[in-house]
Amino acid sequence: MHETTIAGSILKIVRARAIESKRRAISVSVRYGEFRNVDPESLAFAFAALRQESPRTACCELKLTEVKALALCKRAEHEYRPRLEKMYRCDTCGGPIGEIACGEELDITEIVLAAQPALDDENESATEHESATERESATERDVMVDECASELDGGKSERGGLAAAGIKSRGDTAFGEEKRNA
Amino acid sequence: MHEKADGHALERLLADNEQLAEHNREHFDEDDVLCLNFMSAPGAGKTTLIEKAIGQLKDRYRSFVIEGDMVGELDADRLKREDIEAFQISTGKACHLDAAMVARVLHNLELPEADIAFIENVGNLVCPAEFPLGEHLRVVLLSVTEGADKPLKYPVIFHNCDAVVLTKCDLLPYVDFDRDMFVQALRALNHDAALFEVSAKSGSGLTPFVEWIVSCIKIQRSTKGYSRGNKGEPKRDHVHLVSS
Repeated sequence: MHETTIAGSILKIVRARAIESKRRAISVSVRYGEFRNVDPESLAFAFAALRQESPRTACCELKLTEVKALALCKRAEHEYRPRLEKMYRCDTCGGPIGEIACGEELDITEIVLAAQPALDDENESATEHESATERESATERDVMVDECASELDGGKSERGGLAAAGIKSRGDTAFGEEKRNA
Repeated sequence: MHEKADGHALERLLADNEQLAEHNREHFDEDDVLCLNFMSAPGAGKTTLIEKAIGQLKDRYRSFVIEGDMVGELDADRLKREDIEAFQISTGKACHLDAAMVARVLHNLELPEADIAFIENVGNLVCPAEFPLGEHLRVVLLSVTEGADKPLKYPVIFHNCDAVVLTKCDLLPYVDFDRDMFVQALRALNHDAALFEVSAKSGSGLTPFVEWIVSCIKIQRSTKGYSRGNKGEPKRDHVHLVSS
């Protein structure tokens, strides 16, 4: 049931964006590859349970899209759809799977936030907003990230160390490809 | 108000785990430790295989084991009785190890100097495949009692591994295991993985597997560390080298 971890990962990102923008989340679009071990029903179930833990995400809709797998066969690099019925072998030459061209995605492609800012009483900080469950699961991981950062940075700064080590911290992610439309 | 990535990823999920896995791998590389992540269904024989492999390696290489189980310390206690340094992670409700759990072991416990770190994941052919731990190599076990069709049913884990060990081969005369079908299914999904047929109980087939680990140590030391992609894809050229 690692879908619970994935749902937590989605909500952490969405909540951070919602708090940053002082808005509530309306929906989040997630695409998952056919060659990832993601069960959409389990993920939707876990998401529905966990989204209640913050008013920022309580009404957030999860939109899931499966990306069908495309592989290049090992023998001649034919592009094909690997399917169980064919034992995942190439349709053209029967060769085995080489590289997976697509179908290993697991990412957020869109976040929709409310047009209007949320009420003042919902404008808490990320830390204040974290639910007990999220705190419990996130704290250990974040402490570990911070410890690693501190170690790599000679203890000078937490996030600086992460950046120096090429490790992105929460909220530091660059959105090179995204568009923002108010 | 919305943020859209026009077909690209806005945010990759489970990125925290991948970053920590990379960090763990740097730890292993700094210390010249080859790390192997053993994954299988429950009862396929991970603990026994690790125990017997360490037994064959102990005159040449030092090892320790990180044991992952949902509850208790049975496996670690069992290995300790064989004088193997073992560290237990109890995952509680989690059905897999993650990189943060391994990082806590690396940071908080006094680990012995070693050449090889064996990580025994929680018994499960689904979830562990999604969480790289910082390992250099992924080893997937399948016991002959589980059935030859398992690679077809669990394609992700068999596609993304460096070696497959068919275990409990001493039972082959007593079970209907279609070996040809198994090899065909595995090779359709993973042409390059090293394949070993082992009975850890009798010791049959164990030496080639142990020598494969030794060859991987030599490659790691000559190339100063393996490199794996974020999702743990094996570097095929390494696999060619070790399986040739």
